[in-house]
Amino acid sequence: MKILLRIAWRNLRKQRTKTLIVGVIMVVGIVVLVVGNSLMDSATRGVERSYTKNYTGHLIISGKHNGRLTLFGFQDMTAMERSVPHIPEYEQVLEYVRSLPYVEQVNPQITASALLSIGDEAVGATQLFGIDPVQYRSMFPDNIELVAGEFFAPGEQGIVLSAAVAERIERRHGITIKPGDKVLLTGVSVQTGMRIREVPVTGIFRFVQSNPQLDMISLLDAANARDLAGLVVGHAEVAELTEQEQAFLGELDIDCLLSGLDNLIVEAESETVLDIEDLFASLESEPAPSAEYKEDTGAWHFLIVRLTDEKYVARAAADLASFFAANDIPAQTSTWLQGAGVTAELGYGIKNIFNGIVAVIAVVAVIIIMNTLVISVTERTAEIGTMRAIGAQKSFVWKMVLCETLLLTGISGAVGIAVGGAILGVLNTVGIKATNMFYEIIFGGPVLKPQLSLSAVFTAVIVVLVVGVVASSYPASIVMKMPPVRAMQSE
Amino acid sequence: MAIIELQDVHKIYSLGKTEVHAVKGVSFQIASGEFASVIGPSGSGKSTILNMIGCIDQPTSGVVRINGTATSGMSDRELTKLRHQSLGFIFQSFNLIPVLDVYENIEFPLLLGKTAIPKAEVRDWIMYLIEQVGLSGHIHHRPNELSGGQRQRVAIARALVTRPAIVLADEPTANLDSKTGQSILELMRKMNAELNTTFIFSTHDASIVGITDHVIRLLDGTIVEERYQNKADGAGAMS
Repeated sequence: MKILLRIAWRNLRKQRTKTLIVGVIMVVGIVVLVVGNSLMDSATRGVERSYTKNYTGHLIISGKHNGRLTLFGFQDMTAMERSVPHIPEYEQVLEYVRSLPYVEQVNPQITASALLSIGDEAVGATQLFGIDPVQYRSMFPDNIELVAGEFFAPGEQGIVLSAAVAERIERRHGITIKPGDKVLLTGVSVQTGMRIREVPVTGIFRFVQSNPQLDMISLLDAANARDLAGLVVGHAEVAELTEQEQAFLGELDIDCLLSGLDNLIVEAESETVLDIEDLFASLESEPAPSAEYKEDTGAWHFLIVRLTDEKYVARAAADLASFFAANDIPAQTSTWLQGAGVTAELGYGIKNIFNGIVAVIAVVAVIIIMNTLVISVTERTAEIGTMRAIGAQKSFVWKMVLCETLLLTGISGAVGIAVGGAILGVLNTVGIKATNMFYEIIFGGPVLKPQLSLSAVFTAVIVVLVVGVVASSYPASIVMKMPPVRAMQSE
Repeated sequence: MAIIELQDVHKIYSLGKTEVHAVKGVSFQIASGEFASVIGPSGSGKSTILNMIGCIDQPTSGVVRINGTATSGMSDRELTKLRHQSLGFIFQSFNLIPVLDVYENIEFPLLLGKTAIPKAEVRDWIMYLIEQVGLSGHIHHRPNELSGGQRQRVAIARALVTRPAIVLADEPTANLDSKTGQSILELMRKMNAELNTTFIFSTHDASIVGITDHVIRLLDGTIVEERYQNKADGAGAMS
């Protein structure tokens, strides 16, 4: 081994120009690889941190489904043909999830989309997250900035409108929406067809960390969200009617209701003569029944789960899958990325493109290095022939060429990693500012502070080894195919 | 018993569409410890015969036996092992490894073997050879820092370092002045006498022919003369 290293090292020194050319190519390639991969890793970690902290938690529980279901609904060709399934046996699921020791917090959520109208004027669309305001704000406390007004109270109807949507309406329609205004939300669902709800705007907000997809989100009370999403609310309460309402209904009984409209008209008798206008007037003047805040155990599309540590993700997914299977509950879990939607996936897509570019660079580097090595080795054919003649096995020659290549690529790789690390150190200190929304999406925030990624270093080491082995195999095989006598005569 | 035996050996080279019949049915034997020469003009097949004996080339037909074993059926690995263990080469153009110094070039064949020899023993043996070839003052010189004669001395020491049974020397004095050539021949004769190493020279140098015991003269790939000389009783001649 010592002799191999000695020969390899001295040959590299002897052929300084070739060594320098190959070395520089390798250093540049490794710097690109290390810096690029570290940037991408930092960015994707940023995106992951941002999303899991602010929108998706670590895991998302939903009803059993096929296709790409995100927190924004289905994002595939079937989106218009089917509705998002709700979580069956929600209370049982919730109880189990809360019993898991590594679950930090949960938040139920509904997804819907609606056309916004103000008065008679349709002003555009908004995506809606139907939420429990207390649980939602408790889970994502740092990511909501109220621009005006306030959140609706638990059990209260209301919408906290996206500031971006409000600004767009003002810009395009000249309508300034303020807290207290009412908006009409028109939703269409497969089950219930078109639904229209009039909802008061209680506030206007923006997500602290956002992107174009999240800018479209407004937060709506769960009851209205269910209605717009076509969810059948599993909610049973005894209705307490006022005297006037009872008087209006009179002696009506269930048989009467089911026996047809004619019977209803005949049998609906009342001792009190009721004026219909008086009824509506009194309904408007009556304060809405104040519901005590209690956990809404109705239908939800998603249960967003935040774990005490992301290391429990696989365990949580496995535990939940077992629980669903054992209890015959048609539900499933998704990762944060599956639930996050297209913009979050964009960063990963860009990373894959970058990896593709790196692969092309690696191939080009291999070709250049291989060519240089072929020249370098073929120049020494006679020398290698002599070695073979005096007793060097083919394996010795192969090891010698490999040793030379690995020494070169190894030193270049180490220099490349060091230079890449230094560049990343500077970038980490300075920070890369996202100059527009696109970069903000990719960076996972307004500033990217990249760190040297271990996986990038590992990738670089693997590339160095692969390049070394591949680049040396071809020239070594050329020489070894040659009989020693012919190799010696090639000088 | 013959250490080397050639039996009706032919060698045909293809040069494009032309075939060159370099060796045409050559047969001879060389006994262990002989100081032999294969002589003849350029193109007579001397080097080709040496290459086949040295197992760095294979005959087109016929049999080459080294120590009684035919080389034609051996794998590349076996041939390499045979070359390493039993054969030493001295090439016309020295063929030293340029990045290694004198000591390292001589040591190189020992590093290719798997036999563990004590370091001190190796060092003593190499130093002895260096002294014998008169290069004690040039141990750490690289080949490009040596004269032709000095390089050939390194090649001789390298050929002898594994204590091979056979040393093949292809025109060993061709690139040397007559004085250096003479001293190198004396050195090889000394090694032949001390270590009983079989030497086979390919040459057309009359001074080499004059000191060898067994002369094989070639012309156009065939043996035209084979004789034993220098030993009055013809010792070494194969029956």
